[in-house]
Amino acid sequence: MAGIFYNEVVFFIGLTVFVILGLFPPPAWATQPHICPEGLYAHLLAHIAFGAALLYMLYRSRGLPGGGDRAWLYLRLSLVFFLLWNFDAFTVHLLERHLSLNTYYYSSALEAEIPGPVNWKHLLYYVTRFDHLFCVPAMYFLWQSLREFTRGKHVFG
Amino acid sequence: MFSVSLPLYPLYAVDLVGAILMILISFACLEKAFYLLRHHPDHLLFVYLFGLSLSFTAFALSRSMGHVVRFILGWSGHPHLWFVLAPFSGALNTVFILLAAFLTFVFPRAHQTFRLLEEETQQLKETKEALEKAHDHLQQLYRTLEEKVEERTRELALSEQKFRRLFEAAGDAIFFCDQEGRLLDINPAGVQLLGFTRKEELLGRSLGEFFACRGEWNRYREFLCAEGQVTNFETLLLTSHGEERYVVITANAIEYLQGCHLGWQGIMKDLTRFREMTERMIYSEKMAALGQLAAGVAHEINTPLGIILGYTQLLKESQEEREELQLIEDQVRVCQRLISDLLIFSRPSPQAEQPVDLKEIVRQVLEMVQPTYRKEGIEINLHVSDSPVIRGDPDRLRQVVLNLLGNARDALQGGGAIHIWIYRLRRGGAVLEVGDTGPGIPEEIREKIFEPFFTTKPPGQGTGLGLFVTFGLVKEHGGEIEVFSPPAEERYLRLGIRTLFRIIFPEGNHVSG
Repeated sequence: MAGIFYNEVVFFIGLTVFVILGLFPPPAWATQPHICPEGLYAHLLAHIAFGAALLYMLYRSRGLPGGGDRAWLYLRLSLVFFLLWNFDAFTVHLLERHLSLNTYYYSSALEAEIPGPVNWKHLLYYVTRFDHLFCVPAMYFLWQSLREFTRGKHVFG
Repeated sequence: MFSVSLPLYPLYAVDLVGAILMILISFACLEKAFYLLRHHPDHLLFVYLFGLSLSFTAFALSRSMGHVVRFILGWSGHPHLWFVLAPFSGALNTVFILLAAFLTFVFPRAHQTFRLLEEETQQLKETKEALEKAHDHLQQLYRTLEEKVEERTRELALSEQKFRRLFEAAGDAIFFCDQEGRLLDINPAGVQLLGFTRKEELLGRSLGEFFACRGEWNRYREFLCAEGQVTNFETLLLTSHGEERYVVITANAIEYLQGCHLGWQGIMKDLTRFREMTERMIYSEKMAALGQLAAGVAHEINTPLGIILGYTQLLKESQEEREELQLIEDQVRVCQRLISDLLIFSRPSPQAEQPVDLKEIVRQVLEMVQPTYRKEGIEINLHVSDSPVIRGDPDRLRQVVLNLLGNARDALQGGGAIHIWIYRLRRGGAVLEVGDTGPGIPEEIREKIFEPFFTTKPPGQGTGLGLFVTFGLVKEHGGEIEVFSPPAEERYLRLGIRTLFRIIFPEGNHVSG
């Protein structure tokens, strides 16, 4: 019953975000990476769904058989990092859209930069662009978890 | 606001290295997940992890290859081409993120469903195992029960056979009656006891029909109903031929579980012969005692009688009153004859026992008495089918025959017939029967005829010692004497015999006649 209730809450939150984004669309700048805003919205919704799924999985993973094993610990760490990465990526997408920035399209030259003067949003964008610092550990912990599972020292769920 | 520019090369470096690492690690994950899936194909968690790894690998390829390709295109002077490829990369990223989200959402629910299914499957399996166990147990019980039933049936059949044999072969009557006393079953000994030849003739008839006294039957029923059983109930039955059977019955009521009487079952023992023998033995003892008493008294009187007779004869020679003395002498001689008869019991046999032809003894007596009897209108018929030899004193045996013939002669006042039978019994023994066509012996005196001094003649005409002496002599020879008045057998009745004396001597050497 608790699981069902949780699903409904997640779905309701997701729907609310979708409606807010739909009702208040950001301005369309010329340098946006997604040519059409539908693509970005779809991508953002995918991030929201992915975040909700990760939260749901983290919540339910405790109750699964063998949930306290080492393999499951790694799996949960992986989920947490993926969750952080998801939030980070979502923030980047919003800031890109807000600041009409896309670092990928400035240049591929090593001397490329975000020209000053910059504000806190630019700084936040700059920091959150290092998203690999979250997704690489997330993949690493997923690998560790799988490795633990292959060693067979766990209880199968 | 900060008046600085933010260099992008650290960002590019991290993206490049991170992209390569993501591709490598995602493939490593895919390899591990595939390994798990291959070894545990039916394990839902590993299916999920494989799906997740596959999604992340595809995502990593799509996203990381995007970074790499973008750098290559930028450095090669064709950054505009990235504008063509970027939407595809972004769309693929979206798809793979959604796929990962979908799998992550579905897994816990699917897992829960699978768990429920597994639990139900397990429960079904356990139930099936329990049912199989119960089935095996029941089958074993059924087999055991079948074997036990067979064994009990065999035992029952054996028991039934055993009791049936006992029932059929028993010397005593065994019977089963319903509540009303009607015979439901009775064994052959019972059929014979009641004078029938077939059981079917008896079944359904009341046992009370055979009770000589109706009151006895009612008493028997009342007692049985009240007490539930009777032990050694002595009564007299009348067979279908009217013969008396003295029996002792032990019976008990057959009851329902509720205690209601269903009928009776019992055993009847025929004591007729036993009772006759007992009575005969008592009678023999009585007669022996009387004989000894009489003989003792006779012996004591004999001496003074001899003295009286001697002096009477002396006085007759010297005295005038000769007539009176003659009377005394006659009476003394009568007394001496009586004493002579009585002393038969106490006197030793004058000669040793020897084989005697019974027919010859009878013939000698007949030669002596037949002329006299003929004059009196008495016809004597001798029926000899065999010539048995017994051991005994010929004189005493002649006395026996003479006494029986004298008794018959007394009964045939005005003429009649005397029949004598001599034959051998199959079971051994020589039989001498003397019957007459006289009036017969009244029942009330039948038991007294062998007693000493018992006579139906007027005073002075009979001594009452004839049959008494006969009885004593027969006993002396180890024989038995019985009287039937009238006899039951048709062959005697056809000849008009009303009184029959039967003597059975133990047989000695047989001399062919």
